[in-house]
Amino acid sequence: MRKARKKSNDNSIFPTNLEDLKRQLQTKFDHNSDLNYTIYQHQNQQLAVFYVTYLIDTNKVEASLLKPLLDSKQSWDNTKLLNQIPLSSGKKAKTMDDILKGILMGEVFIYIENEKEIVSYPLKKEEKRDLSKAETESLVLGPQVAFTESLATNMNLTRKGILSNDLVLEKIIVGEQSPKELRLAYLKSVANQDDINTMRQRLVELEVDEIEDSSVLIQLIEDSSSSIFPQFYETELPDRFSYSISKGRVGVLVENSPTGIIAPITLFSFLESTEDLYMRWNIGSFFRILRFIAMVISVLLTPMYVAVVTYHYEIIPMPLLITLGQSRANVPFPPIFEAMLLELLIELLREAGARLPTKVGQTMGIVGGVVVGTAAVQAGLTSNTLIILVTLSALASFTAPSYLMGTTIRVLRFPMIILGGVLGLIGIMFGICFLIIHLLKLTSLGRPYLSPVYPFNWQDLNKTLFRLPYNMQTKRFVSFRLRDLYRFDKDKARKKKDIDE
Amino acid sequence: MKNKLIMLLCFIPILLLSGCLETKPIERLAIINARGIDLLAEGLIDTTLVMFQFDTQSPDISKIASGSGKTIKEARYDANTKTSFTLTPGQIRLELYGKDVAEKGIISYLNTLVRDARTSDRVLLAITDSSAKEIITQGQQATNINVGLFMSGLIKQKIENDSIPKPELYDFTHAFFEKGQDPVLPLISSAEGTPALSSMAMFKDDVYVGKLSLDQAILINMFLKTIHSTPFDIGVDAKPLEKYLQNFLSGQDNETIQLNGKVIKGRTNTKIVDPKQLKFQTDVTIQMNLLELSRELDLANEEVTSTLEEQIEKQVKKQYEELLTQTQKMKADPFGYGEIYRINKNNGELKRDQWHELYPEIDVDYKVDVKIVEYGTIR
Repeated sequence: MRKARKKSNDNSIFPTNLEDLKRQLQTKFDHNSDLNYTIYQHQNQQLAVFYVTYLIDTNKVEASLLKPLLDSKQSWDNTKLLNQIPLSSGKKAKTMDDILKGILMGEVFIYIENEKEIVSYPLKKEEKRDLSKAETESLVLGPQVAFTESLATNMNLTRKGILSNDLVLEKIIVGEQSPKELRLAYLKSVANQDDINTMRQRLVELEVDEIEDSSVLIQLIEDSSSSIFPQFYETELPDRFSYSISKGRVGVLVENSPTGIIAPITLFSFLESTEDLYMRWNIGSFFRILRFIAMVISVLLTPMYVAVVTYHYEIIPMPLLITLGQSRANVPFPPIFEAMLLELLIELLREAGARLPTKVGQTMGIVGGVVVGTAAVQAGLTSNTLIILVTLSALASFTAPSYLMGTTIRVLRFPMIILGGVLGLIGIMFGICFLIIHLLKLTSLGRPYLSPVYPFNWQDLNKTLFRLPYNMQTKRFVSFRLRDLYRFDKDKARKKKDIDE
Repeated sequence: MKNKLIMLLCFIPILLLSGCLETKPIERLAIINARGIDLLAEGLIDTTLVMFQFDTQSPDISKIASGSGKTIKEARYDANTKTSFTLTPGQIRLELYGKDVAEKGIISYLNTLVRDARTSDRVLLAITDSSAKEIITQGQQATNINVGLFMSGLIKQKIENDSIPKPELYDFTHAFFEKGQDPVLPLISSAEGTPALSSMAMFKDDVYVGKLSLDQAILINMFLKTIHSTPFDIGVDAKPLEKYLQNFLSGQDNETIQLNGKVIKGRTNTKIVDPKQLKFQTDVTIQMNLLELSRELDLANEEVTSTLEEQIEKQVKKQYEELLTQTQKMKADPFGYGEIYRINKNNGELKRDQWHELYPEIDVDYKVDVKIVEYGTIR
């Protein structure tokens, strides 16, 4: 920032006359007819007012800017302008670069001829949609509202979630060709300073032409780009975002992106839902464990089937062996091919369902699930046992609260099926070991991805694998070495207060 | 770059060498679930295999094949020449030995089961009354279902309610290698073609030496472990109970009263009283409930139950003593008294076959304690 200001001192284009300025601007806005450049005569002065029409709230320009400007009986200079125009946050600029940037950000510029600087007011007209329900992370309990594409709205929602002046929303601009505003959000009394510094450094030092979306930003600043696992959490729920920040994590909001980024996180964060907190602790724990089991099932069930049916007939229980054998007897393909075919079918259905409008999507589900499924069995293309297993593992993969993690789990299945079909249980074991080693090495913002399981910390287990009643959750996440570990007093939490009354 | 090369070198063999791995897709296998072993002349082994074969052409998946050879594996390969699917032994659940084989010793045939990692250690072993082939082929015709599953079902349900000692491969080899104990296996005979678990076979080492009844199997099992919810039948002398009989409720007039009940918990505790004289003392404690009586008794009366308990105790003691003398005649020890003897011996050593000579000499004092916990509603 400081560098930029120094530069501007050197390249000042003022003072200049209005025709010159117009010519200069028009060369920059070549073939762009939307720049409104008007010259007003006022008290023997020449004033130029210019802006891009569709970026500006024209009503405001007329009512709050042009009216006082032209109605006044005195002559203007920059200081008077800044003092007497009933608009806040006016500022001065000198260079062409600042002017161009300002115009694109939705500022209105006023130049009084022969002044040394130009004055601008942000009068941006923001196009935004209304707040709506969360789509990809929909909930039953708790706040339903989702982030929108507007950064101002998102910041508003975050502030509403954390009513504390400890909440910092640091402004960072990233993008050389099309600069975009980011906000680094954290609680300065709670969050670990190292985490904040690391995140800030990664954002500030990012040299990139533009950022399309927060998911792109994640990929740009992640710890390991070659990994299949997402290392930052991307959420569209303001309550999840503010909850994470209030528990000491660092968040990033990106202009024009309906999701917020949370870091550092662990693998288990992807299996947590805010709903677990809104439910009673025992039920919340049950669902959390269920999701964990679902993840294992989703990755391993079909590969296990393939491995066992191809190589290890001796471990199948006798009653299952008979039904399995009878259904396999009709299938002309080897198990690996059969499983790949069905998994591919499910993936096709999911992808088609996601691309089509909701009404058609539902029909797709019925056609795919019922008609194709039964027909495939009757035609002898697959065994009906496998249909059940594949459906089960597909269902299990959809239980992950994070859509990103769900896709990761589903994709992981394919190499596992190949390993199972090629090397049997040994192959699956190889795959599992590979995954575990990979996860052990993975970090999120420099913090271990598998904590609190590795490095083991028993105090954190009740925040990841299961949940305890609130009076026992007195601490925040220990593994992340927060500045303020305690949420409330442990002893006071245990005291019953309603007896004396 | 170097790392990537190493990774590549690791992955390529996985894909290329996978062709070397033998696949065993279940639809192309004939999965053996029971095997019968008999002896032919000239030292040839005759195996009869009950198997599942998943053939789309036929609705009947149970098949029987047989073959002969000098070893069990050779016999299987011989049988394979007569089947279109590959015979695989990984799912064997029951191994049957014909009477001829059992009388010569079966340990050499267990070798193949122990060595093969794919076969389970928990294969059930059993002896047949006639040849194993006969039982299997006739049984398949008579039962019309997979006879291998049928027979393992026969044995398993008895194991589940603790009526017979476990006849799994592991238990057999354990008892065999234990110097002071001999194994017991179920004996399957044919009842008009249908296989039935008729009695138990007593072994001396690995040689079949005599039959024991199924009632005696409970006594042996109670000695080896604590038994729970085991059906239990016993007949007691009617005379001491005469005065409590409610004659108007019970018709026939017999000298014994037949009881049927369930042992809730039955266990024994044995200690050696005098190692030199081979004197043992076994305490038997049985908690049972009564389900059926052949003649009606006024059980609400405490005197009656205590007399009844006494009579049962007497009867159990008698049965144990009978079992002891019977096995002593066979010189085979199903209980493992020899093991207790060996533990309490000075140097803790017992040579193979030594116990078989000592066992007929031992003297056991059985102290039985029966408690009737429940007797149900009475009229």
